[in-house]
Amino acid sequence: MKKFSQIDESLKELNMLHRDIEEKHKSFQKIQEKINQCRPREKRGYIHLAHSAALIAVITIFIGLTYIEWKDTQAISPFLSASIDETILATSRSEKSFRPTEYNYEIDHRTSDNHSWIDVITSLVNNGKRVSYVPENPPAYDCLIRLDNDQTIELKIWVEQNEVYYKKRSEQVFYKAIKDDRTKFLTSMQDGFKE
Amino acid sequence: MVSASDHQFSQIYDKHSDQIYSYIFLLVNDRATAEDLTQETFIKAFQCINQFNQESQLYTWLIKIARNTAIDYLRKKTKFTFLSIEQNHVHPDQQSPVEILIKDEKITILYEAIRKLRLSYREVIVLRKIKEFSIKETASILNWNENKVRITTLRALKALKKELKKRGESFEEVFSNR
Repeated sequence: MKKFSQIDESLKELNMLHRDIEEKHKSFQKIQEKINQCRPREKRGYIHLAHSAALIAVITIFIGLTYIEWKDTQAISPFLSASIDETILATSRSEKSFRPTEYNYEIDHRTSDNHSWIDVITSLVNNGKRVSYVPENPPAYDCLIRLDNDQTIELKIWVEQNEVYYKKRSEQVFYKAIKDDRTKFLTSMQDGFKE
Repeated sequence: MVSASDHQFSQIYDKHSDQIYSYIFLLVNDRATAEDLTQETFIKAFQCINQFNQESQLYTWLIKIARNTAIDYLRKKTKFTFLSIEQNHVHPDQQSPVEILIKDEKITILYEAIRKLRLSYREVIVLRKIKEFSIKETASILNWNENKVRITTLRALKALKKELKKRGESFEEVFSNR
């Protein structure tokens, strides 16, 4: 109990960070300037209120319909029992090994809760087609997926002849990514996973 | 629904801006950026003050705006990149910004360890343990359920312990004699 209260006390000290009083005043002046700049626009905006409201209504309906369609195509597959919360990615060493762990931040590990990346992985595993083909080369990546329901999935990923294959570490069922997802995945790797 | 005069807004700024600044700083780890995002937070708050329904505390509402502002900034900054230990590694001879802000060496070690945690862990530690929000308030700010806040807090503390150990420190070493 004592140890925990010591930790709590130390963490509370981080609440008391020094802030330059001059910077604080400068910030307030900038805020006031910005707010004053916005005021005349608000009046002009009021004149066009009816137009704006109609436009917003049309856009909202459009977005709503698009979202419903998108949700239909993004339904969670049997692969994912919930939405992806975070992923940790590493270059793979072998088919049997698995490098990322939930608390592992060693060299060569990449972790991301970036939404664009999570969309890429979600789409990849949702749309993949089951194949009988077994990749010949060693896997390229190990990917630990943590879901919103606190379950984790260990994914082995292969890249062969510009195709992307994957499987759960514990299973022998292989999936092949569809063209769009494969392209997005490989682009992400080139952009953000350079060794 | 509420509205704020310039005088009231000035009072709100005086009362809460230091806390908003320190919250943002702990997420972005940069003084100038924290100051900019604090400005942005208060501009948004002024523009949306009529949406504040007084069901929550004003401070909690401001933290929610600050959180959204900081997360937007972090997402833009890290779009399609991955955080790596190499990129984030703090060289021992490099003075970290917090050393200018915080004089206590052990608190600095703690801060640097928190910096290395994944964003969700950092967020929950900052809100629950540093800002001392309740589980209910934290759940509301993060838009999580209360159970997720509880579980993630435990995991975050465990990860923090590992991070301190990796740095050759332990909770006992860092927090003894305090």
